[in-house]
Amino acid sequence: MGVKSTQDKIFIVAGHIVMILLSVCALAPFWLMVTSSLMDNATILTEGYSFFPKTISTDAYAYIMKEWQQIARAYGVTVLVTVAGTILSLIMVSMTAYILSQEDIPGVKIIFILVLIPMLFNGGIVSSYIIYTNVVDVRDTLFALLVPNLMLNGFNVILVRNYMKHSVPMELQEAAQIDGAGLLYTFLRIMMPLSKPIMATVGLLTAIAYWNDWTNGLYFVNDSRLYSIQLLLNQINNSATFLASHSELNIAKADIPTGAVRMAVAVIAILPIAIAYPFFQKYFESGITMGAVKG
Amino acid sequence: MKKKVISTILSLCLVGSLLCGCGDKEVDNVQSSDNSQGNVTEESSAGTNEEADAADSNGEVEEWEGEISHIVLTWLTDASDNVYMDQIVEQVNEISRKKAGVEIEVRQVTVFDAPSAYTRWIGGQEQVDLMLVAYTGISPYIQMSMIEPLDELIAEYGPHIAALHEEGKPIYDTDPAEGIYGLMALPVNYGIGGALQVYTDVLEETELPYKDGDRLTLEQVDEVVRAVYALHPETTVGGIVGSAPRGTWGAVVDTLGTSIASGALVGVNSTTVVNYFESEEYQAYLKLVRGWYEDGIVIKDAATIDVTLAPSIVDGTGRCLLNLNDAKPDLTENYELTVNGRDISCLFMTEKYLPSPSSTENGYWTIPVTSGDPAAAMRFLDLMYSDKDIVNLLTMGIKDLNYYFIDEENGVIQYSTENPMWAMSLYGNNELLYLASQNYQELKAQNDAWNKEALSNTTKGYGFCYDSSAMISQITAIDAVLNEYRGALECGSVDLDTVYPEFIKKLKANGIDEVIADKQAQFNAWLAEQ
Amino acid sequence: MSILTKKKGKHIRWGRVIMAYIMLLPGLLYLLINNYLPMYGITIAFRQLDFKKGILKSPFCGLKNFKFLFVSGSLGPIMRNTILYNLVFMVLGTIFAIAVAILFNELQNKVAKKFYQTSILFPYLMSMVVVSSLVFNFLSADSGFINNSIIEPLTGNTISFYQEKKWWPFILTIVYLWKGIGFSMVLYLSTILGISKDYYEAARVDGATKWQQITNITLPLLKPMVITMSILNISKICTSDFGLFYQVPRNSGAIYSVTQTLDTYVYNALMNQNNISMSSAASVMQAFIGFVLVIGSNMIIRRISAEDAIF
Repeated sequence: MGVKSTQDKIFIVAGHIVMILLSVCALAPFWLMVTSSLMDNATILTEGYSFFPKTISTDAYAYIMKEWQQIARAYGVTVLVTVAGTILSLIMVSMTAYILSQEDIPGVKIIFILVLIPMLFNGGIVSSYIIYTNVVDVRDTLFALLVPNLMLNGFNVILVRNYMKHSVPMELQEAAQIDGAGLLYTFLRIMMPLSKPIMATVGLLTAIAYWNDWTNGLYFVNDSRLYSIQLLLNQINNSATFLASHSELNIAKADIPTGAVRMAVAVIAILPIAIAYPFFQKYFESGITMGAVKG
Repeated sequence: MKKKVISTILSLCLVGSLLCGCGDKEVDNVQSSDNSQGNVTEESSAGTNEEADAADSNGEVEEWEGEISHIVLTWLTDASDNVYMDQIVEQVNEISRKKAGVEIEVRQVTVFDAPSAYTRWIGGQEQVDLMLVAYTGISPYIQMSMIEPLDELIAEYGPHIAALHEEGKPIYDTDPAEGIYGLMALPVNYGIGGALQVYTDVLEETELPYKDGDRLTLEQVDEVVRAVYALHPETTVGGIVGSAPRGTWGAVVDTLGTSIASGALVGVNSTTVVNYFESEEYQAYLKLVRGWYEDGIVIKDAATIDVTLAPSIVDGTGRCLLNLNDAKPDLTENYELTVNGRDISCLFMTEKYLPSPSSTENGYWTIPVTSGDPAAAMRFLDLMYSDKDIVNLLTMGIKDLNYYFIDEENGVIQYSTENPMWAMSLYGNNELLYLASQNYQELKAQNDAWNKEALSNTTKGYGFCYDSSAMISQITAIDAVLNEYRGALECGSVDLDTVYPEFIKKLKANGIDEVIADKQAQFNAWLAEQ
Repeated sequence: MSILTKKKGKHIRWGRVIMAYIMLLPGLLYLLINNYLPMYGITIAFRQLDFKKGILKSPFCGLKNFKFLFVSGSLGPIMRNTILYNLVFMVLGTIFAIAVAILFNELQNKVAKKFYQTSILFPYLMSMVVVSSLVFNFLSADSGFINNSIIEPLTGNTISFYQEKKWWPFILTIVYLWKGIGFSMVLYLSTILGISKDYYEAARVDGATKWQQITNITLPLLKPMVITMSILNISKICTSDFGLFYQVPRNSGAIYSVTQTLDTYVYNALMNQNNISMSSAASVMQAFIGFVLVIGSNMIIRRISAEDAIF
């Protein structure tokens, strides 16, 4: 790397300072989330929210853990769907984007616009519900969680296509073509390895989208064995809000998930990602650095 | 390079296996559903055997002899699915096959998601036979032809329902002359009576001359609240939190079957539709609550907090010694249960009265246009209004699992602590429900007294349902204004002098007067016919 | 024909074209099913829905379903909020994300990098409901951290954040940046990592400072990405993150004038109605405005630098 100039050092120091500040901003609320999941309603009303609560109660977790079997199952479903969905989506997105980056192929420009239009116009949930139940019936299968809406996102296609167009040197492709390599070969052997940074990025975005999605489950799944963790948690949250605005409901009988439960639920949803992400990130990082175009 | 090829192949294999896995899964599902259907038929044949036995021993049971129809019924959940539902359905079907030739399948949906789910299901032409429309208006469903008219079905298949109507129970969504689309889930207590609920011991502590059941003016209510607050400065008036509409508890208000956005009758004998938010009663209520807020009796976050304070009675914060609520005896009894029997007194702000029924405050049973067999749906509905076992199964759950009998003869139960069932009391005729109370005789007497008073004190608009279809744009815009202002105003969180006039001005700008004129015209026409 | 002439007589290699379309097939099929078939649903906005006849056979009713948006005249402030917030988010979001990505890229320490990147992605993983609760934990007048632990001990008073308008433009912007930066930073980072090291090496040999390298190499090479992202953001200028504008301000009426956007307005208006014709009318309007703006901005960019236009 050679000798670092003072400006380089300033950048590094500034970088650390900014990143530490950002990390604190991101982690402090997370900590507050953890502590408020450990406070019961009474403590919150009398002492207020605090980073270091004086009394700790695990009632909220006890409440949730009553249904631990369903939660564990929902986790399994979510992990499976996230992994499978991300892989399938990456294959489809990269393949589509690659062809769209080959502008000499007739019709590609029109197809690109066909990819863009759905980013603006959509028919709304009722009509896509009808398609996914009457035309292709995905109800109560894993496909219901995998296929609708998430698999081919125009935004991701544009990202990958632009990267392939702008950041991968054209000469490499041309050289391969001259050597007689077909499209598929060029795609698998040249473009995929060279597009690792963007594939890692898009993969991350897709994985998060799958992980966080709950609407597919809500619309297309009745079988509670196929509930994803986010669907489960969202149902708890939404209903708590609804019930709070309908005091005439016979709520006294109901076990209303209160503030602490909501936070406990969020902790349970995020903690595994927090633990898994650094491991995942190792591959993410190496994918990016290995793929960096040299030359 | 080799490594990469291998990894590519591996990932492809992985994808392939996943795909296959999914495929298998699907097949499994299909198979299992086949199996379950098989089971159902087996069971039903078993059922008929039993049935025959039952008929032998009990000659008076009328047996269904035709084909058994399969109907789909919606069941509202709080958040997670009811895990006892399979058992419940099984027991319900045993009865309903015999009595009405119907077996049900339950489709669970969260109360929050229900309206949009209904739109999807009916839009997707899926079979739904009995649909519970709760806490939203029923008129959009009628306007969009999502539900069938029920008049003829009731006449043919709903003798018990018709009988309840004859008895004077507010069971139809509208005057039968206008066409019936919904059947109200009959509550244990009819009508409304807004009240301040106070722990009896706390009320006695204040040494004020009021007791349970008294009618108080708003000034007297204020006196009680302040007296309690002086004794217990940590007190908060529960019920004044969240966005629940509570500004109507201080007056007799009849919204004539729709939402309050289109105007209301104020007072039992009124025949004039007015903008309730301009009325003296509403202003008096706002002033009262604003005064409490300014003196710290209402919490500052009241308008934006999203937990009800009522459960916090339970956790002993002591901040909810007072509650402003609709004080029906069964609700009050439930509160008393949650505080281990500590007695609650209700100081009423209005008389008990019966307004025109409205689905925004209750639930309506409807038959969607995608029903596979409307006649069977109505037959089952009739059971929900007449068969004690079915109503209790759907609301209380399974005997000895979700509840235990204390006194079977009088239908007195205790909820199970390990397996409580969460159900809204919306499944048919709740008068048939078991009572969960130690002093059930007292509760029964209270219920009867309440119902008698409410049923005899109907508003002049009782039976009329406003058809808002011509004014839908205005009402939608007014709803938006109401959502903007009501929460903060009714929790006392904002300054009345500036915000209230703004609120009224905005209501007028969005055409509330036009809507009220339309409602009045329809109402006058209806009155003339009576 | 035009393609043939453009490619200076190079004739089309049909094998290549066929292969290309085979590779496009899964994507196109998916788009057809997932996006194009359901698009008939757009007509719901123009229909008087009648479920008995079915959605496709309901009679048309012109622009009646759009009327509720215009009845009150409150559309003006609502659109102002929607568009202004989006513009602010677009500008600040881009600047912050690029700045953070560049600084991050300069760091060497692997462990620290891992820690930073993980933690700033955290907020992106939280759902808005949770964010809303967290914001409430900070801002609540009775029990919030800021009031309880900072403002009250210092001044003896509390601030009712949820009733006072002046704070919300800042609060919403901060929450937006806080939640989104981990995400958008990753996008720019991937582009920066794709830039060849040779450029920087050459620049260093020429004696360019870090700052000069950034302004002369990194930023110009990020331009296509910035343009793409901006055009995509412009297409959504009339839509807003429902969770951010509804759940975070906790639907508090007192601050509507600075928090209400088209989406939250539509939600509030139709909460009791369940009228999908009206809600799809609103989304058709949003899409139409977005469409016009995208075409417009793409045309302008095409004028200025053709190769950066996205279509």
